Amino acid sequence: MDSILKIEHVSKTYTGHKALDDVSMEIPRGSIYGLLGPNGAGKTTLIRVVNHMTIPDCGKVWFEGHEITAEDIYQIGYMPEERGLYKKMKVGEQAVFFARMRGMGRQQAVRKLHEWFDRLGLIDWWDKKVEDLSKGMAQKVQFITTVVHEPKLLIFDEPFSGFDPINADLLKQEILGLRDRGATVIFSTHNMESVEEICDDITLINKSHNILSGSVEEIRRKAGGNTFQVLYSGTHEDFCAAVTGKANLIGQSEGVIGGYTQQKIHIASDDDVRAVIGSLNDSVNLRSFQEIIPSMNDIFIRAVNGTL
Amino acid sequence: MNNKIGLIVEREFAERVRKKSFIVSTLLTPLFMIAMMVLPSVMMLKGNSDTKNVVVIDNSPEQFVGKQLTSGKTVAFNLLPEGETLGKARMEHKSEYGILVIGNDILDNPQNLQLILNDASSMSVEENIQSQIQGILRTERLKRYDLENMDQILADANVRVNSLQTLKNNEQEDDDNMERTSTAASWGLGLILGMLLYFILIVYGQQVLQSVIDEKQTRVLDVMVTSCTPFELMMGKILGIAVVAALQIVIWAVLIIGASAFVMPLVAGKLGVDTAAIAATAASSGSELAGIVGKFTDVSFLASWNCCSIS
Repeated sequence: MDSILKIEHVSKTYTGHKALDDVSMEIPRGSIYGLLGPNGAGKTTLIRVVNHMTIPDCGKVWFEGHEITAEDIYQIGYMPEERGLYKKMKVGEQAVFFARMRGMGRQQAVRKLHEWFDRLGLIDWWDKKVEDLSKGMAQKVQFITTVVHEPKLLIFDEPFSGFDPINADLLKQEILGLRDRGATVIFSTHNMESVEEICDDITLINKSHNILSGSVEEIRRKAGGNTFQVLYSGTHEDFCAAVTGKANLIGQSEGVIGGYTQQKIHIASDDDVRAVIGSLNDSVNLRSFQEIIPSMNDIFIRAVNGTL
Repeated sequence: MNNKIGLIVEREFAERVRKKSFIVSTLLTPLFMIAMMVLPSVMMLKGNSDTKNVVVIDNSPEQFVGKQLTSGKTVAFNLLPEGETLGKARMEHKSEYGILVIGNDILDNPQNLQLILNDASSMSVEENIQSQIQGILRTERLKRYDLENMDQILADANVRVNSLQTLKNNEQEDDDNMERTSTAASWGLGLILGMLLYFILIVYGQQVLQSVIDEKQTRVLDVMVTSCTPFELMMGKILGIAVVAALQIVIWAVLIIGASAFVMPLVAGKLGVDTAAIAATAASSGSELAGIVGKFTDVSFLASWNCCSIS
């Protein structure tokens, strides 16, 4: 795997509290990586370690194949959880300031920022003070100042908090766009829908440990465990006869609109799925046959509760 | 690196100078400081403009002290006849400013004096009484020696070394032209600059601190720390605030000098107050600082600024 960032056995203890305990993970270049976990799990601490804001007690952080140094932070864009903006400063002026702090020239910064502001619908607010903006708009401004200098690695701490569905979708599209232009994105979130929609890989941290890592698709599939939802019309007996020996029924059957019956089944082996479909098709009027893949929300809850 | 420090300096400066509170504090602070120094003297002087009536019970032989007391703008004396009792006087003269009681052994025991007050005490009244009686007793004691031309002898013997001319050594053997220095001005300047230093350290140091606290609370610090080194950040803040401080001090200096030279005499004239009197009162009140400031209100003193040098 070509990884842009590698975290190896990192631990960090604050007075009386272990924030990170032997956490390791690898972030593939050009991916969108989700950092999940309950409140207080250690996500922000991990982000600070990656950012070189905090030095871990032990373990190493590798960036672009070498141990991370102070200079590397200029290639990382970081957006903290709470607003990181000067309240009394004008929006446009502030954005230019941050862009120039990251090495952009004034004219280039103004030009690029105008493009971003236009795209996210903020151009009318260029001369307003940050304290006059709503939370969502300030968050958008923050986002722009983080990405304008086009860093290789972007880290967002809870980027969707405070966004209505429309703006959340807008942000998702922008993150995908950044990925398409070659950046790697890490973001921590509680918004599981966004994780399902745009994350390639995730790490789930709970009580300072890494308890789950891998690609979203794989994790969901493994957690799914070959459970299927069948919609049919016909007798229950014919149905049972068709699946005997290949699948087990889960729960009761339910009558649904249209006169169909709904039934969950579990197929032990992947190889039997086709046979079951064929058998059912012969015995009953099959309306739909769908794999039930657990949502990330369910997986999150089950993993944190230890029932995954 | 310098570019980043420059950016932060620019931002800190612009943020502070644009605030309304900057303009207010820059203009009001010197006014406040001048008022604090000058108002007490002005008030004292205004308070003293009424003539105080003092009733005198003189127990000295033939009332020689009381008869020589002269009334003036500050105090008017009313010598009561011999034999008048203090108790009666205290009842009858309640509306006067006070009752001065002179003991009968005053010539040998000059401390046997009492001033019973019906009103608030006044330093100028006390000084008037003290200096007059001092003079009277002195003359009387000298008379006891019965020397001819006593006054002339005393005038001759009274030498005053008023001002020691101080010059700075130019370390040249042949050149006798040396620069005059002024100890009083140097001392005054040292005092003022010392106070200014404390003021600057506290006020502007506090601003640097507050700036960091604000950035920490708004999480801007998280973003800044990922954009520059802590050294660049602090240097930028300190330099930015230092530039603001320098600007404010220059404006204050211009305002204070302008006020002393031109505005003060005008204002004082309007109030019906003599600037020289302010200086005198301020000086005589015993406050050395007020005395120095009294000098500052004297325009001619400003001319001698050129003469002073700080070694």
